[in-house]
Amino acid sequence: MKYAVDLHIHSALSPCAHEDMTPNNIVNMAVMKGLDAIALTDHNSGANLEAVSICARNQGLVFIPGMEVESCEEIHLISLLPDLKSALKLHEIVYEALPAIQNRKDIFGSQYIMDENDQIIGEEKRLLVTATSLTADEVFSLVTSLGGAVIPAHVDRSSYSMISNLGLIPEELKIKYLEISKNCDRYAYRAAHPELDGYKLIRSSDAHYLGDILERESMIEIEGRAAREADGSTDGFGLIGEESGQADDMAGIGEALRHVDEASRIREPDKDKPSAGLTACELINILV
Amino acid sequence: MLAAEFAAKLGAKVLTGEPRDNTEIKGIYCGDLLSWVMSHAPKSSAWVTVHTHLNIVAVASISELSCIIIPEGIKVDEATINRAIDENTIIISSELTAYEICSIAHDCGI
Repeated sequence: MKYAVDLHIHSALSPCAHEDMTPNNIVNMAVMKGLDAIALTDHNSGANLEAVSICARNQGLVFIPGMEVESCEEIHLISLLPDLKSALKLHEIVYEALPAIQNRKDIFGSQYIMDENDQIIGEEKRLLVTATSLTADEVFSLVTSLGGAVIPAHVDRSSYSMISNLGLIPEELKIKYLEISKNCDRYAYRAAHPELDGYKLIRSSDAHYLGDILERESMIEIEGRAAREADGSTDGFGLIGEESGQADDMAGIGEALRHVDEASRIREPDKDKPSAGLTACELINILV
Repeated sequence: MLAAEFAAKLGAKVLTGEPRDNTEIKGIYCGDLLSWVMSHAPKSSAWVTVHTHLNIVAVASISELSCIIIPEGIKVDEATINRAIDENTIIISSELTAYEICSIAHDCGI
């Protein structure tokens, strides 16, 4: 069974994200786009995880609590946790490792903490978009010890990427997946980087705006989980974690917007959905 | 020395147009780890970095650096240049290496 995911999404807690990135907006957009699971990955903080997890549960969307941790080498590491409790534990440790630099809203933007009704209940005063004192190795050990998975973020970019900052992927780190960014040409990238053949690539949006959230284009397969007949899911989609096809983004957004009213209503979780019963833990097990 | 004068000494191009005020260079600082630069670069330094990400403008603003010098003709994104213009941060693009830029700065008494 293949599930459509977007494992790198920011909320309005990240100062660089648009303030429309509220818990309900993120979840509703993900539902409209037809995703099965999303991860919330704000910079160095899990302060909005609980609100988004409540909204996701209300919409029957599988939610992976996460964080984009910035190591001291300025590498962005998508850290995905099996549950809220372990994610909040990571949040505490990362927060301790953040330098005491105050956010400058005029330069970086606001860092809103929100509840499940999209109300602003606080503002993070400490600057979140900076390096922690944790090494990349430490982030890996920490997240692994919490039962989570780490995916080095946007390795195709020239900033904050493990490859740009370290020159290569350290072999000693237990890495299975590397994230490529939304507009990366997967085949050209593969061709240009034969040294990465041992790694799987997964596309995530790194959404800072609602429209950035992926269509059903980044798939994770969980073998042994039965596909529903009505789902039409067949073999031959490609490799695990590879994309299912060439989604026409604009057409997808148009289609999604036609269903705005429907999706904005709180819905009972659909027990017949292909993702019914799927847990963050099952997805994480595929990623490690 | 003013940033624009130093750019002329380097034979470099100011990417951000005419500066709105006279920014004096009081020292030079090299570093590519943004968090390190943010916590260590002395105020009013000219900062030499190979980084071209948008965030260099924020780092320069927070640390009150006099200008950013991108060495080796590295292409700077339009978004970074536009943000720098908004923030009144000067970005200079030089074909020289960081070492050559520092040598010239030294010769100029910076």
